[in-house]
Amino acid sequence: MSPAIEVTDLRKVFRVRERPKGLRGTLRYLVSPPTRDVAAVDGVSFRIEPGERVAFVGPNGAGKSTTIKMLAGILHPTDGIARVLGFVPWTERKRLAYRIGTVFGQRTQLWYHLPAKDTFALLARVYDQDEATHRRRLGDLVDAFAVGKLLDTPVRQLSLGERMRCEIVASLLHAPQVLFLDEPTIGLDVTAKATIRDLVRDTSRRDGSTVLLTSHDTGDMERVCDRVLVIHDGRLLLDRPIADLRRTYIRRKVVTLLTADERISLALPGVTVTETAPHRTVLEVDVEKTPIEAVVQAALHASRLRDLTVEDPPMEEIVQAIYASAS
Amino acid sequence: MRYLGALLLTNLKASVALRGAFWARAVFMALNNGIMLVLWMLFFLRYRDVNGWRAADTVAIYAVTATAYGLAVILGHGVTDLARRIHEGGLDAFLTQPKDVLLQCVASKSEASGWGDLLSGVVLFAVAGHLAPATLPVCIVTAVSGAAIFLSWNVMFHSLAFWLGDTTTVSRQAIHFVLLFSLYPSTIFGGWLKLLLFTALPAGFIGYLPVDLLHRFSWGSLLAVAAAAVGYVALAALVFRLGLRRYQSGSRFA
Repeated sequence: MSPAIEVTDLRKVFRVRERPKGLRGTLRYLVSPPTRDVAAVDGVSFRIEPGERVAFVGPNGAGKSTTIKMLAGILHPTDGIARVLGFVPWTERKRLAYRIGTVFGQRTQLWYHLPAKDTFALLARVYDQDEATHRRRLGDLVDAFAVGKLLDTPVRQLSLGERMRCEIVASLLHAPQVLFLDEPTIGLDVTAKATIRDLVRDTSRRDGSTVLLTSHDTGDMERVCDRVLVIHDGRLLLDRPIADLRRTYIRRKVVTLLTADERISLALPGVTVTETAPHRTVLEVDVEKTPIEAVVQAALHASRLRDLTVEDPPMEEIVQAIYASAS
Repeated sequence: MRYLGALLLTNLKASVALRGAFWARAVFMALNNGIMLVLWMLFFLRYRDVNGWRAADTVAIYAVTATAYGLAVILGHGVTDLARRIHEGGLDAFLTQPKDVLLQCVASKSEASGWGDLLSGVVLFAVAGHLAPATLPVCIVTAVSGAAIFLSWNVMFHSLAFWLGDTTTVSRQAIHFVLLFSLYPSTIFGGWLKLLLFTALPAGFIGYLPVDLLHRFSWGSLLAVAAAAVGYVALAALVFRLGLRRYQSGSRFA
């Protein structure tokens, strides 16, 4: 079977204008600014099979968005080869566009002053969909994403989570075979994040579509994807199944307990106290040794809980750990 | 065509979505045009003509230019966001869709004040007696070609953002420059300046030549106006296409 996405030695170099210091430097910048080349993506290669859900993760500026933009036909690479569904994205952009869907977390494709249903109707024309197909597909997606009540509300009046659900419906209307999601949960609250993750995963399973998702939120890759590509400084650092990553790099969670008692003591394997203050205890939990559920139960026995948060380690920490082990 | 129709319909729906703002902008623009014309009429009450340019010519030039500008901003006000979109990466959404990027961007916004311009233009055409069957086709051709030239001029200046960074302010000044020269009595210009109005500045094709056509029809002038519109559209599309290769999607490295 031919791959959904195949990338070989992809490079993107941006020319950066540098602003020198001082008055002389500023005047020189106005006339002839000094420049230097920065490789945002530096020889990345990978292959994604149809139906795979892959997380493309890394810290800010790692090159993940630049890669996804080249694969979506938005940017021309400096060097290298890429094929998405057999098309070279930057030379066959329009033909490829019928087969891919994109969501850029910080940009919208919905018409701001109009209800989402107007954008959906326009997208039917953009993708040359006939009326019956459009109606059927929209009906399915409206049910799956529970956006029926939002269809008549102007987009400007939707919450960020509601807007993002509509954004994803818009990107799925033409039944794309590959879905590119660039930070789809950025800025969302915990509940909205969980909803979006479940919907993306379930839609991909149902449609058999390939997902390439960029994020610096570990939760996105854990809950949506089966495989993870870690990129750092424009280079691919790691390509592993998500289960491997979970065993090695994201087995630790940070649990913060707010308790009625001033102090709480938990003696559980793999649980260490990293911070204490009156009524507040921060634990680092190795979930391979003690699952979160057991930690919560033990905490409930030890004291009355006022609040509890469970956090993933930040992406920067994970990448640092991977980088350390790789070198 | 079905796509273009749907795009324009969505665009118009968006412009009337805020009803109060829509009416205020449209009415104030019509009033603004009316006041400017009254000032000109007061001028012509005192001075009969300017190098042979009379009050009727000013009514005609306001009719043509206002209609053309109104059409341009009703149908293609998205062009005013083009430089910013280029600079900040706002073309991404258009680039991932299987339709022409420039067309999508230009037609992505409508400006309500355009309806005020369009209304003033049509009323002035009627007042000047140009909506008669013999001259109506000329009114339509010159308004459409004028709108195409306004939009192309805007696209060219906004597309400079691919090379120079955000050129929104320069583009705004450039379009006001053309608008200004399109509305002035063309008889006050001569020699090199007149040549300029038919070459580097497209004002002669928006105002002067259409007025001449309305008063003294000739197939040659009609062809020149239509050819200028096609030429400017082609040039604008070429500049945009050349620039698009340099698009960096608002990358922080740009």
